Amino acid sequence: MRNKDITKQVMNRVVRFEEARSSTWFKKYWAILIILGIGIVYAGIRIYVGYREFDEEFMVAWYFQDWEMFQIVWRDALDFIWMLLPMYWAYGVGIGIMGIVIVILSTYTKRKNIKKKLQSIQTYKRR
Amino acid sequence: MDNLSDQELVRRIQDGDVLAFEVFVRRYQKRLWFFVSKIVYQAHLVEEIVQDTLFSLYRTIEKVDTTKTISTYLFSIAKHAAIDRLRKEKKTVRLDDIEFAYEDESLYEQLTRQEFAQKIQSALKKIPLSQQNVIRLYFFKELSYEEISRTLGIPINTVRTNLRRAKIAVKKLL
Repeated sequence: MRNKDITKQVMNRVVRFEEARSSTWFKKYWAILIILGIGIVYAGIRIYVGYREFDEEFMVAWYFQDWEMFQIVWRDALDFIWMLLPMYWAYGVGIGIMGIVIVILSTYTKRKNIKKKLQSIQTYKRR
Repeated sequence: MDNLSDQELVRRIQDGDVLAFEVFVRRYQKRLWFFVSKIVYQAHLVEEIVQDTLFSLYRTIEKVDTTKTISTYLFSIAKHAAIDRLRKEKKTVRLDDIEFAYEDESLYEQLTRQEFAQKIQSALKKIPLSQQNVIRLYFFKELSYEEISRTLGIPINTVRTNLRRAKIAVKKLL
Protein backbone atom coordinates (compact mmCIF):
# COMPACT_ATOMS: atom_id res chain seq x y z
CA MET A 1 0.00 0.00 0.00
CA ARG A 2 1.62 3.28 -1.11
CA ASN A 3 1.23 6.23 1.16
CA LYS A 4 0.48 9.69 -0.17
CA ASP A 5 1.25 13.14 1.16
CA ILE A 6 -1.67 14.22 3.32
CA THR A 7 0.00 17.29 4.85
CA LYS A 8 -2.24 19.68 2.93
CA GLN A 9 -5.45 17.88 3.87
CA VAL A 10 -4.51 17.74 7.54
CA MET A 11 -3.35 21.34 7.61
CA ASN A 12 -6.50 22.58 5.87
CA ARG A 13 -8.57 20.77 8.47
CA VAL A 14 -6.42 22.15 11.28
CA VAL A 15 -6.64 25.70 9.90
CA ARG A 16 -10.45 25.54 9.60
CA PHE A 17 -10.75 24.13 13.09
CA GLU A 18 -8.34 26.61 14.64
CA GLU A 19 -9.98 29.60 12.97
CA ALA A 20 -13.38 28.55 14.26
CA ARG A 21 -12.04 27.79 17.76
CA SER A 22 -10.06 31.02 18.05
CA SER A 23 -12.84 33.24 16.75
CA THR A 24 -15.31 31.58 19.14
CA TRP A 25 -12.89 32.20 22.00
CA PHE A 26 -12.50 35.86 21.04
CA LYS A 27 -16.26 36.25 20.75
CA LYS A 28 -16.72 34.84 24.24
CA TYR A 29 -13.91 37.02 25.57
CA TRP A 30 -15.41 40.20 24.13
CA ALA A 31 -18.92 39.19 25.19
CA ILE A 32 -17.73 38.88 28.82
CA LEU A 33 -15.94 42.25 28.65
CA ILE A 34 -18.95 43.94 27.05
CA ILE A 35 -21.35 42.48 29.62
CA LEU A 36 -19.10 43.65 32.45
CA GLY A 37 -18.73 47.05 30.76
CA ILE A 38 -22.50 47.40 30.38
CA GLY A 39 -22.86 46.44 34.06
CA ILE A 40 -20.40 49.14 35.09
CA VAL A 41 -22.10 51.78 32.94
CA TYR A 42 -25.52 50.78 34.29
CA ALA A 43 -24.32 50.91 37.90
CA GLY A 44 -22.63 54.25 37.14
CA ILE A 45 -25.90 55.64 35.77
CA ARG A 46 -27.75 54.44 38.86
CA ILE A 47 -25.19 56.18 41.07
CA TYR A 48 -25.54 59.38 39.04
CA VAL A 49 -29.33 59.18 39.25
CA GLY A 50 -28.98 58.60 43.01
CA TYR A 51 -26.98 61.83 43.30
CA ARG A 52 -29.46 63.71 41.15
CA GLU A 53 -32.19 62.85 43.64
CA PHE A 54 -30.48 65.15 46.11
CA ASP A 55 -30.61 67.96 43.57
CA GLU A 56 -32.56 70.40 45.76
CA GLU A 57 -30.15 70.42 48.63
CA PHE A 58 -27.14 69.12 46.75
CA MET A 59 -24.43 70.18 49.12
CA VAL A 60 -21.64 68.85 47.02
CA ALA A 61 -22.49 71.27 44.24
CA TRP A 62 -22.23 74.05 46.74
CA TYR A 63 -18.81 72.87 47.84
CA PHE A 64 -17.61 72.80 44.23
CA GLN A 65 -18.80 76.29 43.45
CA ASP A 66 -15.99 77.96 45.24
CA TRP A 67 -12.50 76.50 44.69
CA GLU A 68 -11.02 78.22 47.76
CA MET A 69 -13.83 76.93 49.87
CA PHE A 70 -13.35 73.47 48.40
CA GLN A 71 -9.64 73.56 49.25
CA ILE A 72 -10.54 74.20 52.84
CA VAL A 73 -13.34 71.71 53.20
CA TRP A 74 -12.44 69.04 50.62
CA ARG A 75 -12.35 66.31 53.26
CA ASP A 76 -15.87 67.18 54.33
CA ALA A 77 -16.91 67.28 50.67
CA LEU A 78 -15.50 63.81 50.07
CA ASP A 79 -17.18 62.54 53.24
CA PHE A 80 -20.44 63.96 51.98
CA ILE A 81 -20.06 62.40 48.54
CA TRP A 82 -19.23 59.08 50.19
CA MET A 83 -22.27 59.38 52.45
CA LEU A 84 -24.59 59.98 49.49
CA LEU A 85 -23.05 57.18 47.45
CA PRO A 86 -25.55 54.32 46.88
CA MET A 87 -23.35 51.53 48.21
CA TYR A 88 -25.13 48.71 46.40
CA TRP A 89 -24.37 50.19 42.98
CA ALA A 90 -20.92 51.30 44.06
CA TYR A 91 -20.09 47.68 44.87
CA GLY A 92 -21.44 46.80 41.44
CA VAL A 93 -19.03 49.20 39.77
CA GLY A 94 -16.16 47.90 41.90
CA ILE A 95 -16.90 44.27 41.14
CA GLY A 96 -17.32 45.07 37.45
CA ILE A 97 -13.97 46.83 37.24
CA MET A 98 -12.30 44.02 39.19
CA GLY A 99 -13.91 41.49 36.85
CA ILE A 100 -12.59 43.27 33.78
CA VAL A 101 -9.09 43.51 35.24
CA ILE A 102 -9.13 39.81 36.22
CA VAL A 103 -10.39 38.72 32.79
CA ILE A 104 -7.80 40.84 30.98
CA LEU A 105 -4.90 39.70 33.16
CA SER A 106 -5.83 36.03 33.36
CA THR A 107 -6.27 35.69 29.60
CA TYR A 108 -3.08 37.50 28.68
CA THR A 109 -1.13 34.38 27.63
CA LYS A 110 -4.12 32.84 25.94
CA ARG A 111 -4.77 36.01 23.93
CA LYS A 112 -1.11 36.17 22.93
CA ASN A 113 -1.23 32.53 21.78
CA ILE A 114 -4.44 32.99 19.86
CA LYS A 115 -3.14 36.11 18.11
CA LYS A 116 -0.02 34.15 17.17
CA LYS A 117 -2.18 31.27 15.93
CA LEU A 118 -4.26 33.58 13.75
CA GLN A 119 -1.11 35.21 12.38
CA SER A 120 0.42 31.87 11.46
CA ILE A 121 -2.88 30.82 9.87
CA GLN A 122 -2.73 33.95 7.71
CA THR A 123 0.87 33.12 6.76
CA TYR A 124 -0.25 29.61 5.82
CA LYS A 125 -3.11 30.93 3.70
CA ARG A 126 -0.91 33.46 1.88
CA ARG A 127 1.41 30.70 0.61
CA MET B 1 12.26 24.16 12.04
CA ASP B 2 12.84 20.67 10.64
CA ASN B 3 15.74 20.16 13.02
CA LEU B 4 13.68 20.74 16.14
CA SER B 5 12.90 17.82 18.43
CA ASP B 6 9.31 16.58 18.84
CA GLN B 7 9.10 18.18 22.26
CA GLU B 8 10.24 21.54 20.97
CA LEU B 9 7.84 21.35 18.06
CA VAL B 10 4.92 20.57 20.35
CA ARG B 11 5.92 23.39 22.67
CA ARG B 12 5.89 25.75 19.68
CA ILE B 13 2.46 24.53 18.63
CA GLN B 14 1.23 24.98 22.19
CA ASP B 15 2.56 28.55 22.08
CA GLY B 16 0.44 29.26 19.02
CA ASP B 17 2.69 28.42 16.08
CA VAL B 18 0.27 26.49 13.87
CA LEU B 19 2.89 26.17 11.12
CA ALA B 20 5.03 24.03 13.41
CA PHE B 21 2.32 21.41 13.18
CA GLU B 22 2.96 21.14 9.46
CA VAL B 23 6.51 19.99 10.21
CA PHE B 24 5.10 17.51 12.70
CA VAL B 25 2.64 16.14 10.12
CA ARG B 26 5.41 15.73 7.53
CA ARG B 27 7.60 14.02 10.09
CA TYR B 28 5.05 11.47 11.24
CA GLN B 29 2.64 10.78 8.41
CA LYS B 30 4.74 8.04 6.75
CA ARG B 31 5.36 6.23 10.01
CA LEU B 32 1.70 6.53 10.93
CA TRP B 33 0.65 5.28 7.52
CA PHE B 34 2.90 2.26 7.89
CA PHE B 35 1.67 1.63 11.44
CA VAL B 36 -2.03 1.92 10.58
CA SER B 37 -1.71 -0.15 7.42
CA LYS B 38 -0.62 -3.06 9.60
CA ILE B 39 -4.02 -2.94 11.29
CA VAL B 40 -6.30 -1.79 8.47
CA TYR B 41 -5.85 -2.99 4.91
CA GLN B 42 -7.98 -0.59 2.86
CA ALA B 43 -5.96 2.39 1.59
CA HIS B 44 -8.82 4.90 1.86
CA LEU B 45 -9.43 3.90 5.47
CA VAL B 46 -5.76 4.15 6.32
CA GLU B 47 -5.69 7.67 4.93
CA GLU B 48 -8.75 8.68 6.93
CA ILE B 49 -7.36 7.18 10.12
CA VAL B 50 -3.99 8.90 9.70
CA GLN B 51 -5.74 12.21 9.06
CA ASP B 52 -8.03 11.73 12.05
CA THR B 53 -5.08 10.78 14.26
CA LEU B 54 -3.09 13.87 13.38
CA PHE B 55 -6.14 16.08 13.70
CA SER B 56 -6.98 14.58 17.11
CA LEU B 57 -3.44 15.26 18.23
CA TYR B 58 -3.78 18.88 17.20
CA ARG B 59 -7.11 19.25 19.00
CA THR B 60 -5.61 17.99 22.24
CA ILE B 61 -2.14 19.46 21.77
CA GLU B 62 -2.53 21.85 24.70
CA LYS B 63 -2.88 18.91 27.08
CA VAL B 64 0.14 17.03 25.74
CA ASP B 65 2.90 16.65 28.31
CA THR B 66 6.11 17.68 26.55
CA THR B 67 8.26 15.91 29.13
CA LYS B 68 7.00 12.56 27.82
CA THR B 69 7.48 10.87 24.47
CA ILE B 70 5.01 12.35 22.03
CA SER B 71 5.29 9.58 19.46
CA THR B 72 3.96 7.04 21.98
CA TYR B 73 0.91 9.21 22.54
CA LEU B 74 0.45 9.70 18.79
CA PHE B 75 0.66 5.99 18.00
CA SER B 76 -1.74 5.14 20.80
CA ILE B 77 -4.26 7.58 19.26
CA ALA B 78 -3.69 5.91 15.88
CA LYS B 79 -4.14 2.45 17.35
CA HIS B 80 -7.41 3.36 19.02
CA ALA B 81 -8.67 5.15 15.92
CA ALA B 82 -7.83 2.13 13.77
CA ILE B 83 -9.51 -0.31 16.16
CA ASP B 84 -12.61 1.88 16.41
CA ARG B 85 -12.81 2.10 12.64
CA LEU B 86 -12.36 -1.66 12.28
CA ARG B 87 -15.12 -2.23 14.78
CA LYS B 88 -17.46 0.06 12.86
CA GLU B 89 -16.59 -1.59 9.57
CA LYS B 90 -17.05 -5.01 11.09
CA LYS B 91 -20.51 -4.07 12.25
CA THR B 92 -21.42 -2.74 8.82
CA VAL B 93 -20.20 -5.92 7.16
CA ARG B 94 -22.10 -7.99 9.64
CA LEU B 95 -25.35 -6.18 9.00
CA ASP B 96 -24.84 -6.67 5.27
CA ASP B 97 -24.16 -10.33 5.80
CA ILE B 98 -27.30 -10.65 7.86
CA GLU B 99 -29.35 -8.99 5.15
CA PHE B 100 -27.99 -11.40 2.51
CA ALA B 101 -28.48 -14.31 4.85
CA TYR B 102 -32.09 -13.37 5.39
CA GLU B 103 -32.66 -13.14 1.65
CA ASP B 104 -31.39 -16.70 1.22
CA GLU B 105 -33.22 -18.17 4.16
CA SER B 106 -36.49 -19.93 3.94
CA LEU B 107 -39.41 -18.69 6.00
CA TYR B 108 -39.04 -21.68 8.34
CA GLU B 109 -35.39 -20.84 9.00
CA GLN B 110 -36.25 -17.20 9.63
CA LEU B 111 -38.91 -18.17 12.13
CA THR B 112 -36.56 -20.58 13.86
CA ARG B 113 -33.93 -17.88 14.12
CA GLN B 114 -36.42 -15.37 15.55
CA GLU B 115 -37.68 -17.94 18.02
CA PHE B 116 -34.14 -18.70 19.14
CA ALA B 117 -33.39 -14.97 19.51
CA GLN B 118 -36.50 -14.56 21.66
CA LYS B 119 -35.44 -17.50 23.81
CA ILE B 120 -32.04 -15.93 24.40
CA GLN B 121 -33.62 -12.58 25.23
CA SER B 122 -36.00 -14.13 27.75
CA ALA B 123 -33.18 -16.21 29.26
CA LEU B 124 -31.10 -13.08 29.63
CA LYS B 125 -33.90 -11.38 31.51
CA LYS B 126 -33.86 -14.17 34.08
CA ILE B 127 -30.20 -13.89 35.07
CA PRO B 128 -28.86 -11.24 37.48
CA LEU B 129 -28.44 -7.73 36.10
CA SER B 130 -24.66 -7.68 36.64
CA GLN B 131 -24.35 -10.79 34.46
CA GLN B 132 -26.82 -9.45 31.90
CA ASN B 133 -24.76 -6.28 31.46
CA VAL B 134 -21.53 -8.19 30.96
CA ILE B 135 -23.04 -10.59 28.44
CA ARG B 136 -24.68 -7.79 26.47
CA LEU B 137 -21.48 -5.79 26.31
CA TYR B 138 -19.37 -8.81 25.39
CA PHE B 139 -21.59 -10.45 22.78
CA PHE B 140 -23.72 -7.64 21.41
CA LYS B 141 -21.42 -4.63 21.70
CA GLU B 142 -18.32 -6.78 21.13
CA LEU B 143 -16.26 -5.04 23.80
CA SER B 144 -13.13 -6.60 25.27
CA TYR B 145 -12.81 -7.58 28.96
CA GLU B 146 -10.79 -4.45 29.57
CA GLU B 147 -13.36 -2.19 27.90
CA ILE B 148 -16.20 -3.82 29.82
CA SER B 149 -14.24 -3.37 33.02
CA ARG B 150 -13.81 0.33 32.25
CA THR B 151 -17.42 0.79 31.13
CA LEU B 152 -18.94 -0.86 34.19
CA GLY B 153 -16.24 0.26 36.60
CA ILE B 154 -15.53 -3.27 37.86
CA PRO B 155 -12.30 -5.29 37.96
CA ILE B 156 -11.43 -7.48 34.94
CA ASN B 157 -11.59 -10.63 37.07
CA THR B 158 -15.17 -9.79 38.06
CA VAL B 159 -15.99 -9.34 34.35
CA ARG B 160 -14.53 -12.77 33.65
CA THR B 161 -16.41 -14.42 36.53
CA ASN B 162 -19.71 -12.74 35.65
CA LEU B 163 -19.38 -13.74 32.03
CA ARG B 164 -18.62 -17.36 32.90
CA ARG B 165 -21.56 -17.52 35.31
CA ALA B 166 -23.84 -15.81 32.79
CA LYS B 167 -22.93 -18.32 30.07
CA ILE B 168 -23.65 -21.24 32.40
CA ALA B 169 -26.94 -19.69 33.52
CA VAL B 170 -28.13 -18.97 29.96
CA LYS B 171 -27.13 -22.46 28.83
CA LYS B 172 -29.19 -23.98 31.63
CA LEU B 173 -32.21 -21.84 30.80
CA LEU B 174 -32.08 -22.77 27.10
